[in-house]
Amino acid sequence: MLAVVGPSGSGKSTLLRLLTGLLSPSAGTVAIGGADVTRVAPERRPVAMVFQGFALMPHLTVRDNIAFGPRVRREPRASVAPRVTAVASSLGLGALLDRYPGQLSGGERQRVALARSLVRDPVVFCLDEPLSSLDPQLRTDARKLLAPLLRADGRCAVYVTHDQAEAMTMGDRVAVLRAGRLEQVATPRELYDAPATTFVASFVGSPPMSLLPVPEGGWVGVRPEDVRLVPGDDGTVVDVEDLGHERHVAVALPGRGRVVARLGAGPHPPLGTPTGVEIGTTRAFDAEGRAV
Amino acid sequence: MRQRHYRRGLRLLMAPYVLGAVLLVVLPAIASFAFAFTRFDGIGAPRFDGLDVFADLFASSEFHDSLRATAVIAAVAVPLRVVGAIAFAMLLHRSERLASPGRIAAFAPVVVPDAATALVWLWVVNPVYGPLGIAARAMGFDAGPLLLDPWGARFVFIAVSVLALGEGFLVVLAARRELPGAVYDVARLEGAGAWQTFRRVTLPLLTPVVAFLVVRDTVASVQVPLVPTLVLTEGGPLNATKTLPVLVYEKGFAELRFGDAAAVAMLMFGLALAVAAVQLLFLRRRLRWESR
Repeated sequence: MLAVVGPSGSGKSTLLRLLTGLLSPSAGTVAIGGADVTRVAPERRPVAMVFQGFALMPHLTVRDNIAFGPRVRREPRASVAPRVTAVASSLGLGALLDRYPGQLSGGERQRVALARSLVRDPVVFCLDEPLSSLDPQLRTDARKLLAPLLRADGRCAVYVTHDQAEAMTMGDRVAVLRAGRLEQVATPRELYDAPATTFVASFVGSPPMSLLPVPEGGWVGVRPEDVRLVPGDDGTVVDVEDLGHERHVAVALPGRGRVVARLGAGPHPPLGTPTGVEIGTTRAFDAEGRAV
Repeated sequence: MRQRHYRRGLRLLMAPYVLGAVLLVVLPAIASFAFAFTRFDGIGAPRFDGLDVFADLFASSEFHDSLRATAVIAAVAVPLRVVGAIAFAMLLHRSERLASPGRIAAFAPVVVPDAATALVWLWVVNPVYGPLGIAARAMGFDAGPLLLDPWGARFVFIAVSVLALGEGFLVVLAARRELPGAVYDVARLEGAGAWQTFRRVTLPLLTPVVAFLVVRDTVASVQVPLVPTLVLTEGGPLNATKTLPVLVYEKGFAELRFGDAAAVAMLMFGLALAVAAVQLLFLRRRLRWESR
């Protein structure tokens, strides 16, 4: 599973539309499993898509929504019905088949959208922010439901999200996009430990890596857990975010920018007081922002 | 305090409309209802004649002619107009460049006074110098004076009212633009062509709007087309275009039988109500998804 993450306007959805064939590239090719599908019509590509907001047909029942694709392609009813029932019951929708989308909860709608894409039996799943219209509590459940389905054998999924935490938990690999360009593709671990650019460094992690300018050009990046606060007067505490189980303390270092330290639930220097800073592991970036 | 001010302002602003509605609509409606059971020439006192007024109407061939003329014109014109409005909206909604002039062109007949439209038609169908007559002669046959033939005259009326599809067109166009793009992406992904997309997605989603149009159009065509009739045919030939409103006008203002005119108006109202009720009942089944 590849998670694609980036700020809005970075080209995540465009990437999916190119993959599914809803858009044609003005240059280059689209290949799935090594086969060039650039000129292949969307319905002939081995892809399925789960849309942001689900895009269910409000005038069709759950059953007809799931069967929409096969019906359009005029597949024989006798072969469609059992597939629809099987997919629906595997997602716990068996009892809801005759309901309309307007009568379903957000989580149920999401499962219907998923069922509609599963019935197509695709090689590539394209998911466009599939969790963004769910309540935060439902998201965790939905994530648990999605992951095994999408990891089933022989399948791959392209999972688009703007939420870096979601990308890190869902993706076997994560692709970071920025303004239409690929910044880095790596496992979540690599992305976190060895960001290829300052953009990735400041996008991944919460709070992200602190970037301090170096006098001779370039930056030094420090993860908040590699910063320790010690007695001293290297800088001043300018911000404290208390999350309960941990605290993010921002320290302004005169002439060197600011670093954020991740502290446990213990005591911390109060806002506005001087503190000493000890920095552990760092990452170096050149003047263009690339990792050195 | 502020609430009371607001209420008083509201009443003040509504007063002219309420007054107008009462004086021009409610009171005349009540009066018509009362007059419908009387013989009244507008000079002497109305004489109560009960249901005999209606009995005489049902016995007169004039009333039956009128009912038939109304039914024929409405039965052909309403479906044509609704289908035309949908077709135009589908053609033009994609292109902003065409939609704007299209909107103006389609709406023009609605804004132009009925009498002016009727005069133009009078010229169009003139057998000697009208474009229709000239075109017919150029193709080698003589259509003759269209308005002197019962079906010819009905045809002209149907054409007049079908071309007044501007309002319906605007309503459908606006409704089509409100439909979510994502369901169309789904349709494309599944390989639905233009016709399938229209039949499986657009039309069902537009059903509420189309239902409204059909009902409103029927009611309107039972009640309105008075002015063009008076200009074009005065109800002839052989009562072929003497629709119910024309009959009301004739009874009331030509024959000074206000009681009979009121009775026809009541029947017209009842007819429109009944047709609308049947249509709504029929359409409600298709709208099950929306009510939930």
